Amino acid sequence: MPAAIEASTEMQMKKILNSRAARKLLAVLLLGIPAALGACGGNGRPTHGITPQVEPVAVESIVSVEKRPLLSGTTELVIPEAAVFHRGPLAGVYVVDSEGRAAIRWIDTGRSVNGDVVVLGGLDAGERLVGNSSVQLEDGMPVKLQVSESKEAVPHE
Amino acid sequence: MNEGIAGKLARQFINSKITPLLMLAAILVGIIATMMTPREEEPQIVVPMVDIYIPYPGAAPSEVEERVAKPFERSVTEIPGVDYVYSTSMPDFALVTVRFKVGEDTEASMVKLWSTLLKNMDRMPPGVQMPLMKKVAIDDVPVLNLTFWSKQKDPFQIRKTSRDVADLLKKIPNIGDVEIKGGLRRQVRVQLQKEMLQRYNVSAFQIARQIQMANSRMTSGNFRQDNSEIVVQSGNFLESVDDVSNIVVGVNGGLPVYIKDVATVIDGPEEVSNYSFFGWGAASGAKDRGEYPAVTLTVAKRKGADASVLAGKVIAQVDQLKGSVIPSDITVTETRNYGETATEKVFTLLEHLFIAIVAVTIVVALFLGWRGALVNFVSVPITFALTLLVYYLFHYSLNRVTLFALIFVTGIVVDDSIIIAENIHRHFSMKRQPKLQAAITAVSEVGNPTILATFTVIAAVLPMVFVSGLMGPYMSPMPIGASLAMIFSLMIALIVTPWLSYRLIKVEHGGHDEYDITKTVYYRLFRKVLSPLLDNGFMRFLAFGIVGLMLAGAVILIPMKAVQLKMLPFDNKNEFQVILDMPEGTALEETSRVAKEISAYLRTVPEVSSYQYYAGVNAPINFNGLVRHYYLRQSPNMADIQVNLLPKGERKEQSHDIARRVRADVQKIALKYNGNAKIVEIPPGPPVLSTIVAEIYGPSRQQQIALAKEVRKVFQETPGVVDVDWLVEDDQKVVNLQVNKERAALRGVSAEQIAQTLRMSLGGMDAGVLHTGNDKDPVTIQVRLPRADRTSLKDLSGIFVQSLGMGSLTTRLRAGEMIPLSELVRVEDKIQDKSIYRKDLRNVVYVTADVAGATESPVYAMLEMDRKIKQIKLPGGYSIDPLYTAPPSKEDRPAMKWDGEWQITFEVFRDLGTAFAVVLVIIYLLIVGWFQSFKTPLIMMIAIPLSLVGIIPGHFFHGAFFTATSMIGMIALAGIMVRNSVLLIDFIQIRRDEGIELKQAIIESAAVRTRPIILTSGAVVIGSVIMLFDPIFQGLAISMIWGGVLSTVLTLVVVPIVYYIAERKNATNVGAR
Repeated sequence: MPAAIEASTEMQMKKILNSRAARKLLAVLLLGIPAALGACGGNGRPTHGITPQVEPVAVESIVSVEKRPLLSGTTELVIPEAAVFHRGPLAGVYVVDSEGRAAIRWIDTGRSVNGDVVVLGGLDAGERLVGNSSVQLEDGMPVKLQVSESKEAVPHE
Repeated sequence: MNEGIAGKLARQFINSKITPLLMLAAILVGIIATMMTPREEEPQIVVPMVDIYIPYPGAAPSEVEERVAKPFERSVTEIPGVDYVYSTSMPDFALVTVRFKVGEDTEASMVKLWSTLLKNMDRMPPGVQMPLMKKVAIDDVPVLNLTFWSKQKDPFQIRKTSRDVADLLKKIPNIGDVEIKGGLRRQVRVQLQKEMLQRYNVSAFQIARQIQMANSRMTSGNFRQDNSEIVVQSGNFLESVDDVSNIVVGVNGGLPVYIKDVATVIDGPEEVSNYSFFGWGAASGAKDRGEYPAVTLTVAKRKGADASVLAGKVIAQVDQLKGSVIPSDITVTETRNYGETATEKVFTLLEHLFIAIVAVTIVVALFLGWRGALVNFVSVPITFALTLLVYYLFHYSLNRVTLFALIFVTGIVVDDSIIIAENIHRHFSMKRQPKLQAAITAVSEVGNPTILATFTVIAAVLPMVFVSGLMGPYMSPMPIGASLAMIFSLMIALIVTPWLSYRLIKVEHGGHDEYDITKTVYYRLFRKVLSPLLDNGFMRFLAFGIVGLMLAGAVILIPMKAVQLKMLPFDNKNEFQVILDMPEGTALEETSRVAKEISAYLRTVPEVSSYQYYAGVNAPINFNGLVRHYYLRQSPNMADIQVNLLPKGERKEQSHDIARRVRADVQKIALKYNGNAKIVEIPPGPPVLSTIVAEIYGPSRQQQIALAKEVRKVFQETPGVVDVDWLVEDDQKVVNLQVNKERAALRGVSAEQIAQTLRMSLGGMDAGVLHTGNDKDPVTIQVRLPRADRTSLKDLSGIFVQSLGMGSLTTRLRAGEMIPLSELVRVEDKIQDKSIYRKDLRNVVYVTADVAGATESPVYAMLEMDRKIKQIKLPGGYSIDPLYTAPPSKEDRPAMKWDGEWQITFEVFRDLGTAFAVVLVIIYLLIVGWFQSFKTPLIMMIAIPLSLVGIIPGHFFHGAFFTATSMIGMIALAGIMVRNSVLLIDFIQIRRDEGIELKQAIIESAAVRTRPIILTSGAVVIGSVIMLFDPIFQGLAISMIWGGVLSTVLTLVVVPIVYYIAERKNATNVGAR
């Protein structure tokens, strides 16, 4: 059973693969063997470098969550309304992490003001989002900015 | 020779035609009983635990505590049978948990509690509402979870589907509660529009009232006409959104104002109250990295029902519904099936049982030939068949504890048959008598000591019934099952074995004609070993010295921590949970985000097959959650992650090791967001609040918390202590709106009106239900401000209340005048009052932790922390001395008591220790009765401490914990070792009665009895080997194997020598006479 092999090799490999460099080297050697994927996942953070690179999805814009001061002295977070997609009653955005990977985040939204919407929960100021949520993305998909559409650079490995 | 009972029985049955019929009947009923006995994973534990919720709206925790919790607790303690009373006073309500003593009748306890509750209702302060009482029982734990998830549908649609399925499932017999976790209900939301309300001069309060009034229908009566009765009904229920939209709520400018004019009415999902998602793990083989909205349907079973049968029926039914009720874009995944795991467990144990029997048979075959082995091979299943029948008749279920009892006795139940068969075999080969006579003589010779020996073993295990507390129900099937099996095995040995032996064992032809004991290997061996020891005082002294040293060496391993004590090791389960607590006041989306990030890590763990996370709603509870009240985890700052692992057979590591491995990474993620994540495994024994619990008592709450902080710091600094938490909530900001009474009065607005209006605007108010025909969940009509309009205090400015006008007697304003709320209230920030915990009438603060890594046994972690806690200096120069067994007698100074697993460990080892002492006395009495000597039993019981020589180093070599099961093994071994001595000394006395000299009698006895002793001990050892691989029963196996081998060897040498020393004087007297 492949799953069982995966589990058993995992233990032995973990002992050898105690450094990230060694892990990468070994994974390159074993590339294509599904066991390599399973072997490296269990130890610490998921090691993205090993998965065969999926072609990044081009998105029109990447925006960041803005903090806006209010008259009352408090602040509120706003994002463009276009960044929000809906699934029934759920509202979600695609958050782009420092490695350029998208992840779905469910958020709570408040009022909308001139094409912006107030975020009540689920996002921090400064987080980067895919600006147009009409694209279909899955968790972990790499995204890149379509050149010339926006000047904002996206660090991407 | 006197035949005795044994000989008489053998004579009766050895040639009877009824014997084979009895055998056949026994096996048949056994098979039927095995089929019919319900199978389940956990033993049926009746711990009458009752939760009582007493609502006291508006009261602060301190008020709830003083006026509701305390008086009620005091009255509850008067009820006989109450073991513990816990209470938690929270804002608005009190939760009192009453735990009755284990074994108390549930219904009787409930009645007692209810009557006490009612009796005291008149003493409760006004405002206390009707209490809610809920029994907590093991059968509330769902046995089957089906997760409905979909790539296209949203939580609202999925919930509707699963609701429909749940309704259909209820028809299955023996099904218990069917619940739905996650998803969103259908709701009619009346979203108020502030500007419109103001323009049309309508208040929120008015709308709710109008909806309630419009939603009524009544049978008004009837009248007669033309000889028939005509029923008159009036009014109409609200049946659709249109009905709701068209309710008239007021009049403005001579025109009616409809709800649709002032509010948006939406029929659809309720506001998002939870996020539950499903995702595949690395081990599932699915490439799918997405996670999908999920709703979990949980199925519990009725008491006494077979979990596996029920699960099978439910799954079959759900399969049928696919395509019709369940649309093709909703996938149903089994995320828990205790029926399957129970069956698997039962069959694994039965397989182990079979392997044990075969192994024992092979050992017997080595000594007695295959025919002798066959005799034993047949008699064991008959014994178990009868035991299983008794289980069925006594309404036991087949679970891991009852089956464990059987495996535990496998090695012991063959012994009686072995002893009898061996002796028949020996007599046949002696050829002194004709075959039939030889068989009967053989049975008579060992029959009576066998009966005695059987009763000594029963005497050894039976006192375990008296283990009290939560562990009692886990333990009691064992001594009962084992004792029953022993009695049956004795009967089989006396009835069936002679019949089988007479037919199966052949008289060997050829060889020596006359049996001569002096020519056997055993005789020569014992002559060589025992003679010098018997003859030479110094050698004897040396031998005792060596044995004494071995014993001391073994015992010293425990204080050296080479062998650690632990109550029960973790079992290898297919699941664990992550319990995430974010600081109080965290938004649901933030909690769900952290849960998602932890899940994203967990899915990469190679053994994880799937996971579900539930934010804002509790995950389906397991046995642990039942006792820990995890079903109350429904706040926005809490999330549960259910992690399912590959089945045991398909992974290398045990679930506990996996849990230990992921712990640090999971906690790192949680800590990044200031959360606290705990990895919770299903405990092998009774569940407790946490493995390590420090209960902190003190005269005031400030002092308690100050001490708790120190203790928590000690916990966090101690290596091996993980998942540290305390039951003190974080500061949560509360905006308190103080009503300005003068202004309110001058405008004719009552405080109640303000409170109601605020509640309606923010929290929403259910104004009734929609009377639709085809919805299984009630569809509530909720009046509330839209989400966008209630995000800050600023939004409150647009909310109005209506003046009551002259009617209020305090104003001259016109009734119905709209007054802005912001004019009437003053905003104050404050910190939410914290929950107050009490246990057994004392205020307590809990600090909890688990152990993993550096130390796996809480006892050692506690001892280490004990030292540090003693050094804590409290203000006022106090220092504290943690208590171990009972709470402090006085509350005038801070104190601390250890609880959690320790409490159960302490109770179990205390009761087992007492049981062991009682065992020794009973065994002593039994042997005194038999041998009519006060001295002989003492000689026989020397073998008992000798087993420690094997047991403790055995644990050391295996690197195992000395657990409760090890202790059980040790107790049982005491019985077995005494039996060996009984057989040995009984034969010495028989030989001496025949006029043989003491030394010769001893050597001969050792020689003759070695074979059955080695055989029976060998059976115990071999029968236990299979248990070595079970995480829980490993300790028992080690005790039986190592203790069995070493004490058998030592018994064969030490007991004869001690007997010689004791009897030497009498012997010379006899010789002189």
